[in-house]
Amino acid sequence: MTVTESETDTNRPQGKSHALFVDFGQRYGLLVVLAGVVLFFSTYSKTSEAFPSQANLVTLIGNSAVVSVVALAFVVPLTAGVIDLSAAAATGASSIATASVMSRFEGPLWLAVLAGLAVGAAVGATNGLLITRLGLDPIIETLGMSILLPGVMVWYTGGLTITGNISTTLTQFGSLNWWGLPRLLVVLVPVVLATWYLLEHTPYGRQLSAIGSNPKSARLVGIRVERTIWSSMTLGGLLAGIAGVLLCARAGSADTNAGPSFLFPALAAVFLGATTIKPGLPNPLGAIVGVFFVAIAVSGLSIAGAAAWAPGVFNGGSLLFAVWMTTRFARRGGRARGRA
Amino acid sequence: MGHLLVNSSPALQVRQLSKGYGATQALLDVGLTTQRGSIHALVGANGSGKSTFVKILAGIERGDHGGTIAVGPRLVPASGMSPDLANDLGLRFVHQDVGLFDGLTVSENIALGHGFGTHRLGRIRWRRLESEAAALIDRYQIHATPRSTVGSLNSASRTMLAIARALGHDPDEGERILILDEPTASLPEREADLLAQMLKRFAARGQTILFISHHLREILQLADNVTVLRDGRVAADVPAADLTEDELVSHICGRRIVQAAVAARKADGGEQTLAVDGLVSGPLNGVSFSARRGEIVGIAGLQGSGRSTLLRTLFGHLSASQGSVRLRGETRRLAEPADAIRRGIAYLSEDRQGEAAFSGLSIRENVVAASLREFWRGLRMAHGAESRETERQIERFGVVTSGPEQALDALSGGNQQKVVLSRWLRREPWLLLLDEPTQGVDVGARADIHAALRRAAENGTTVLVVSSDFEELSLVCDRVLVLRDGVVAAEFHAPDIDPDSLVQESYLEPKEEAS
Repeated sequence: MTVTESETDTNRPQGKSHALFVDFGQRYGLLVVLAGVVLFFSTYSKTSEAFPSQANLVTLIGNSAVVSVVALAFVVPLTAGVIDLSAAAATGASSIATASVMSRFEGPLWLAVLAGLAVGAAVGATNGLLITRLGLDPIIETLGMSILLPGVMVWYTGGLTITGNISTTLTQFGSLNWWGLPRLLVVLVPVVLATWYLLEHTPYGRQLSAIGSNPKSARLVGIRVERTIWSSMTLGGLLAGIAGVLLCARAGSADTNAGPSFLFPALAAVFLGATTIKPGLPNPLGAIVGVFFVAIAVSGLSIAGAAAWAPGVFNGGSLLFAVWMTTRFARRGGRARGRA
Repeated sequence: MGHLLVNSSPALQVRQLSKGYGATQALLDVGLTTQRGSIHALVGANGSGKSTFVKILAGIERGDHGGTIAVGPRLVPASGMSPDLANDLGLRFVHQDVGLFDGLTVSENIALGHGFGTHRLGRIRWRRLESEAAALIDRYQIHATPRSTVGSLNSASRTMLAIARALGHDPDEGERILILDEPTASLPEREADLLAQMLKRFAARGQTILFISHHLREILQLADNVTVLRDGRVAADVPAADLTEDELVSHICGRRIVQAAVAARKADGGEQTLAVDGLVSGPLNGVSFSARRGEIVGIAGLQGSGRSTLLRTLFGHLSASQGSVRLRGETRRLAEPADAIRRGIAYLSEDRQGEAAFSGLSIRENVVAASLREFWRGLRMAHGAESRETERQIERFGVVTSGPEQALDALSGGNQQKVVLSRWLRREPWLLLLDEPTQGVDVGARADIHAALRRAAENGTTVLVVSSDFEELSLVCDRVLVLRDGVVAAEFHAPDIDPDSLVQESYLEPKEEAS
């Protein structure tokens, strides 16, 4: 086919070096800022001793493991444009299921873990069914679920913390190190890599992002939209289940409040992460960067003895700033809307 | 076209308008002069700079230094335009997406353009609003009442309403310049004719109109003068009366497009691949026809005659309540588009933005969207192979882009159309269902798309094309079916496909309706 000579290239971006700069800024801006934060706290006189220490690193990773997996639980359905506000509540339900199998029923560890995963996946699958079969609005449905689950948890536990007879294998896994690093990494790293692989390198991940871009077009290129959304919610639920088991391991107990409290930190990390790696789109690696960005900043600030309000202001501010930067880059670079 | 030329000073005069984006020059030294009370057409291929020109007039983009825009006696530097100034100068714009609110009434839509008049306490003066709306409706002869919801109007009336809203009550049309961006792009032919008549009446009353269009025949019938842009320059500026359609095409493309009509072919050449019998679905009420291997079958008919329903039903997107479809000899119900695609059927919707494009995703992701399995290497998606394939399609269809990773919505409409079309053609389906495949595409690209369809047919694909452009059908198709009253009302074989008879057959009134 001949190329029409009359076609001009008015659509081209404004010169190569500029485009490269914009692209780099979009993709890795948050990482550059993160490096700056690390550098600052490593050299700042008040924190240069405690911040870069191994002990601090271990605490940081240990405390970020659960919220990282909750963030991934958000990312999977969000890639298809469905926000699951009940993921954190499902994490809580899963941790209670794990603890109560060992504590109340004196079941073996493997059964406890399985129960935790099953509860998470079941919550996700239920959400998926209600949304795709009954056509409920995802935000409202999962909001309802995120209120319902804690209620059920309080009813089940009587509001008490479940502590007795938790397997020491599990609690040690949650708190001790191997080779100087938290054992939790043995689960965290593979889960992150698997999610990244699934979303970025398989047809399934591409189907999810097609649905996220335009569900009607997705249907007409042969994607079974309802089924795929349902499976993404189930998968998100399973990730929430994994987070629940890790939460039980980390805390050595389970209560009704811990899980649901991850909702906003994890969600903020997802949106902070949507400003990097794949700008404008929620993505797994970005979400992990988001989690650690916040954790590192909070750690540095608290070591420096900052006032209690400082972490909140810093985190909220950086989220707003990151979103603003992404929007700006998006307008200039012609990613997303902005050009006709 | 004799008009009452009250005053021979130009209503709009643009001089030496240039606009560069970095290294590329979107417009270079463009001049345009429009006389008062005349209709001036601005034409050009996708990406020739028409949109940039209109954006500068509207003050959305700034022109480079040196250019000037004069409206009547007022002269403004092109680098100093702003939306407020454009409005102040009397430039009134109606864009392709006319910007009406379907759920609101006619008078509410007018008020949203002009502001709601209110009582002292802020309550809206509904009665006055309605009487004003009634006056506008009367003045612009729109078939509606102030209380009709806009969603219930036909397309021509909607466009007219948008024009009425833009021009408003000003008594002196001569002071306003109406600029229409592809006003008829989404109108069925009869409504486009209605609109054209109304525009002519306006011009006769002294209204100056600048309009952009891809419909060459319409341009030649409607316009007094034509300015052709090519590569950001003025390629021609001539009275419409001196132009033929062929000349206009060669001005637009800078080359002569040889569009050979389909040579008559033996109808019994290929085996029968598609047999539809008594299909009932939506407006379709017993459609029967068959198609052969390598045949291009056009589907004509009015909007709402079930043309799109037919394609969607064959693709498994809508289900038929009665009737049977035999696909290559097999009778099988398709429950979902996925089933149809697996069987080698492809379908392109007429609603590109809503049902075909993945706007925020890259060109690469759009091209391979229907072929993900093909690039699955057992362990990972072959991104390299996807990029190479996308490069190939970009080259094949002449898509103007910086590369496979550019987001689809950064492209012009015509280029987006080429991308979504290449998504299906590259799969080499045996049955290709296309709904308005050349909408919004310039003449050059249109010829390219037609050639691609011909080639697909030569390789054995059965093609079903729905188009509102009956001339296109007469050029491309081996056979055209006319849908009317839910059935195939007429059938034409190449070379005896005459656009005028297609129009006639489409519009024939149902016979028993007389009582």
